[in-house]
Amino acid sequence: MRCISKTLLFPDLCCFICMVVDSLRILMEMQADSVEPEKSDFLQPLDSEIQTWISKAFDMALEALENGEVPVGCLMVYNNEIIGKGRNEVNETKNATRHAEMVALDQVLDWCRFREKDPKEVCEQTVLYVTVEPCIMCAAALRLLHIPLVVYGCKNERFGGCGSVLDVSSDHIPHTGTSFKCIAGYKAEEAVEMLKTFYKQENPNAPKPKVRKDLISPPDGAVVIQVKRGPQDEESETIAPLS
Amino acid sequence: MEPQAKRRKEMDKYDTWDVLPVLSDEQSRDTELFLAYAAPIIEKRQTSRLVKELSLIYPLPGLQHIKRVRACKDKSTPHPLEVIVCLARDVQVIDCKGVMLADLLRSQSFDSSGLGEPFLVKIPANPPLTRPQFEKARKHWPTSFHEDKQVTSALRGQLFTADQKAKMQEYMTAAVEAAKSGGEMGMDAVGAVIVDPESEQIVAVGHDCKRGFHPLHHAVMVCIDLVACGQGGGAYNYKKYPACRFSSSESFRNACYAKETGQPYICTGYDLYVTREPCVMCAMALVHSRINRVFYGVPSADGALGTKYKIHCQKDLNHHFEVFNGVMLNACEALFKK
Repeated sequence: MRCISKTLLFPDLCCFICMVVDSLRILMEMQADSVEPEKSDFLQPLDSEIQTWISKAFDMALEALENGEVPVGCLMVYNNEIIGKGRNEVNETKNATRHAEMVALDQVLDWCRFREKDPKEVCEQTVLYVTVEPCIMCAAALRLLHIPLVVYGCKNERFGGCGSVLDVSSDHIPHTGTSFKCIAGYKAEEAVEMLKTFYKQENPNAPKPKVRKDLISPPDGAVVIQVKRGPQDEESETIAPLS
Repeated sequence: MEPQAKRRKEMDKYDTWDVLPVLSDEQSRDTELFLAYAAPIIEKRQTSRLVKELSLIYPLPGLQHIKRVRACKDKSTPHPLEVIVCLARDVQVIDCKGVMLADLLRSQSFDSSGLGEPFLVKIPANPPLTRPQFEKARKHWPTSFHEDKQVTSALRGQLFTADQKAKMQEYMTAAVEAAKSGGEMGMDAVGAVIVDPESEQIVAVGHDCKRGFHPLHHAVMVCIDLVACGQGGGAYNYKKYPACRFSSSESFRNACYAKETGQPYICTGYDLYVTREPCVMCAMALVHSRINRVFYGVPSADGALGTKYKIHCQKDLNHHFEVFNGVMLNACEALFKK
């Protein structure tokens, strides 16, 4: 995998974009047969329901983008009711674990406390709709709280915990809650577009990358992102080789 | 009392412990072996020709670490050298015991003068990455080895000086104390401390709070948020837990990043001491937080820094860090048993 990270101000996530683009195509193909019949109804939301909820998750992602955060948004839906929603709050809180899912799970727990409901019983009937595949940390958190189903947009080749880097969602880790099911590929392209938009901006909180001397950095910290557009112009739109 | 003597007395409270590295699977796995045919070199002066021609007809791709020729172990044998002819999987023979040189070379135009009849050997399939792997590998067939002295010394438990271990003891003691405080409040007895190794200051101390108001408040997650609090951020309030505390980043500076940006950035450059191995969630939270090193006491059942996963050396992830375990093993184990 060619890596463009050293040329950018976002060394942690920039490779992610082109990987995401790469995997998009595969995902689109996967979408059709990734849905398997399930016993309980809530584990198999109707396609129209999914479309509605995932669109609302995208509204959250947009809010993150407008606030200078990595544009990932999510919803937690229980009995057709939104009981938690979140977007990335990493920069705001200076806490790198404040991903959309973690924020939304906090709200779910508050919701349960307010109504004196058992969080485990509620979570076991709650579906997460999120614009990007949950990372390894969030996947583990979802397991610990017994969320049974996750519907997401695009893959997260950089940090994904639902099959991309590790498969925390279905691995045998009996002391880490319960495994969960995933439905992937809803509005994947849109999710990638948002991430691309974000990474074209500067992250004021990131440390200055160690720029190699043989590379001329653009003036005023401006970032030039080169993203692969698709399979056909993959070769013409190559990333500057870093050897 | 002299500080040094005092420190030593503190040390005596616990059994001695070793800090051992948690290495990647590649570094810690057993030596895999391939079956190969070797043959004695009967005429020593043919050696260089034989080696050159054998590597032409039977190159050993991916086995650059293997030395093609070895000196004979048994000094009483008439021939001093043996050479690898080919991998067993490269040739099809009916009876691998009674195989003759001609069976191995039949389809090749090859001058086998100076070469004796072949026999089976086992050769290491991968280059040895650590001294223990090298010691095991060379029992089968000689290999090259580019030693990482730091890994060798870490595996012997000799990477850290007595003074460094005394510091570790100090930090882990703070984690153990926090774990006990948490335990007294009905939490799991797990404690964590985040340290700035440059200034040798404790940045944050936390304990497990998951039996409190939030099931995801594992000790490490608490500590990470406390560091954020010290940097003017943070997502939660820990007033209910007096043992969970942080130092404001004003009072110390993460030297390596402060110079460049004027402010510390999440946990960059910081070390974590935690009484037991972090779970997957916590381990990945440490990747996101760019932790520098992790020291833990005891392994845990679904642990993600050695037991079930090795998130710290997981390929594809953007940040990797060193992990050591065994720090104050007995004191950490004692917490577990309560």
